[in-house]
Amino acid sequence: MKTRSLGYEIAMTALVLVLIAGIAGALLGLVNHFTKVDAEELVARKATAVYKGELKSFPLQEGISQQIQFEGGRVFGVYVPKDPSVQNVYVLCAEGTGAYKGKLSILINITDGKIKSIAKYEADETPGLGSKALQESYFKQYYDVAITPDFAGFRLVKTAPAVSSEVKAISGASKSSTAVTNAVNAAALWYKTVILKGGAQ
Amino acid sequence: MRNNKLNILTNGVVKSNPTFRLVLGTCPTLAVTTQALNGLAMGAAVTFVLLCSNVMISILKNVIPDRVRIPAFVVIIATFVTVVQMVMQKFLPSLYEALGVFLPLIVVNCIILARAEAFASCNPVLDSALDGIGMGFGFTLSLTFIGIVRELLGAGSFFGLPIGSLGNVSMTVFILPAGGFLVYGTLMALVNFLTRIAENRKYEKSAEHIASAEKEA
Repeated sequence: MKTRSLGYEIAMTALVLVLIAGIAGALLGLVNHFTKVDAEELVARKATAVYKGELKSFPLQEGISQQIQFEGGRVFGVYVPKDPSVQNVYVLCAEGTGAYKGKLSILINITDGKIKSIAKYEADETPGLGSKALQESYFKQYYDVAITPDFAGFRLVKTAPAVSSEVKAISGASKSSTAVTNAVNAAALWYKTVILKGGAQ
Repeated sequence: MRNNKLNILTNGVVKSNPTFRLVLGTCPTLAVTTQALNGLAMGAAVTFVLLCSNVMISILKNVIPDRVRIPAFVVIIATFVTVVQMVMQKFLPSLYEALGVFLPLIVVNCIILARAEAFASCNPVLDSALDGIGMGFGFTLSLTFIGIVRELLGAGSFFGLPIGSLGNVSMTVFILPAGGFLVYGTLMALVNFLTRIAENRKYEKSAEHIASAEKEA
């Protein structure tokens, strides 16, 4: 067998690898063009879980976010319906700390000062345990409680709730229940401060 | 010849099932089978990658220099995995989220690299495709099976549908990692037990044949 020079061998090996990588890169670029999901679209798609209809971004009012922030959570996105005839509907993306793996975030639909629906946005709780705090049966406890200017927030309890602002924690999932409550309270505080009191005070 | 092709196809499903017989790819097996649907989706993703990479590697086996075959294989496998990932994120976002980090980790799934190295790099294209489908199907079947058992015991549901009041008496441990090991081990023992029975029966039958043939003689 004819022995090839070192240079030839190096060049051929490199060429083949570069060609394979180049074709692979081109293919991925093509696929990416058709499957691109931008962040805005992702939120809007997830938000359909709590509001059926097109949404547009609503200013978060960064200047006052300092006062709105409280220890347990924060609101990181607010959306309102595109349709101008629909008033008083806010879809909030809120994050709560204290979850099993640190944080979780949920979507909250506040219509006419009351929470109408909640859905999971991003959470990684233990299936069968923490995940129970991300189900409709648990979320229901927050619904239809009027958020007034002096609303003090939801309180997590371990026994049967006595008042409407008390929420019974899921047994075995205290951490996840706490994180959801934190996120809901962050949303309620944002609503109170920005919408009910009309901004910075 | 036709029998040979059929053998290649069924090899991955029964005789060298990647999960229960070869014990390959146990990491995603244990991690994603908390629900039957997740197991099925993971299996489908792996099958697609396995089929595409087997075919591609088989086509390119004479072009790829022998000494750099591993980097070339990894680039090819990673490309198909990324395609699956992008498509899933766009069209099946909930499954994409459920599979999480285990979707990109298919790149280093040992079933795929093992089949590329052991089969596709030294066999014709059609055989490699059949091997990919067979192995992928075996993997999907096993993962779905483990998922069904874990979901049934751990959450009392079947493919997400609650079965009566079984949810009230379900044992959460089966959805947790420990339960994954328990179910995997038990099922593996069961599969090995059944295979042995089948093999013994085959052996006895052939022994009988020989005995009767000897008697006649």
